[in-house]
Amino acid sequence: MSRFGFVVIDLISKCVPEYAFIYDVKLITLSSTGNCMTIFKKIGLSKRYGKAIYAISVALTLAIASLVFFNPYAIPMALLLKLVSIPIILYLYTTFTKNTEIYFYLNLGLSRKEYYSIPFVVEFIGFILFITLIAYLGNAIR
Amino acid sequence: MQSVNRLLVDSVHLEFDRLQVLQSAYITAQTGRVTGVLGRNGCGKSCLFKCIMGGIKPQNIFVRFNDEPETDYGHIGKRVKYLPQNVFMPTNMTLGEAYELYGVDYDGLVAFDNKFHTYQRLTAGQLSGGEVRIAEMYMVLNSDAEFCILDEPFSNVAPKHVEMMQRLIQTHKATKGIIISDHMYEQVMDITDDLFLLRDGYTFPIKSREDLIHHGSILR
Repeated sequence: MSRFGFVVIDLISKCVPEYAFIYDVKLITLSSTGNCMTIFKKIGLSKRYGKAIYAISVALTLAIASLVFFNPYAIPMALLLKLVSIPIILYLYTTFTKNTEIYFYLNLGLSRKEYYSIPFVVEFIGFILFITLIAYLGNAIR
Repeated sequence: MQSVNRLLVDSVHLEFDRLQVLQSAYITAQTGRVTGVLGRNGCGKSCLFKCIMGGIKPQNIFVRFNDEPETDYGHIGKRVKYLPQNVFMPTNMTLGEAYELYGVDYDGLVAFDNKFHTYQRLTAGQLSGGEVRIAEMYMVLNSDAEFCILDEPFSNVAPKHVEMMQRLIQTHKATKGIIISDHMYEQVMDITDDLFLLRDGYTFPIKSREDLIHHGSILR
């Protein structure tokens, strides 16, 4: 990730408290000692164990996007819905998945924090970009 | 000459609600030696290992590699590989994929036990418990790490394979420090250089079978 990317993340995480946890993206990248390929490898690993998280989160994103498409003033509510869904999805995931599987990925160099946060951070960034695009599309069509 | 790596885990304090599981537990390991950990069911052996790996957050833990001033507690897995007590390979992942992720040559497993020749595309869910155990243990022992922690590796495994695993551990101890824990204490004592007993949350060094009798771990 470039220095500009880190500056943007710092700015967003400080100015908008709700976005504070995207600061994890910077920490994860920095903890990989500057090797950007390592963060992509970790994201790739998260696609293996976090399929359920990604599936539910993407379904929720699409549902929320339909709200925003017809009513761009619903963006704050959409954001709130998304943020509230994260701990719920996390609770369901930890309850219904085999808890020893985490050690398979800890052995590969992931930390416990990265194991749980990467799917949500990646999906949340995708959510922000998608909602922004949908809001613009909705406005353009109207 | 193989460099000697040392691992020190000390002052492990773990409690759940008001139940104290570990109190000042400690363990050491070094390249070229096998460290055994014995203890009754529920004494905290697995908890100790999970605390080291970061799967459980204890109230206190101190981990040091060699004389390094700092330890990256979040990424212990880069230097220590852990084989948990239960199956940890993802059920929808094939053996071949798992071995590739761990950077271990699958042909080595086939050489270890020829029946795995046709199992490369099978998932952990399609194999018996014992077969998965053997595959997981081989993968963990052969992966690139300074230390390996094996939690009950002999469970669900036939006696012939237990002996083969013992030989594998003896082979790999030359290049890594190994910590092993199992209820088959005689098989553990046969291969360990240092032995500890976990009891009442504390760690006790064990020198002989009589020490185990003294601590009440085995009957006379």
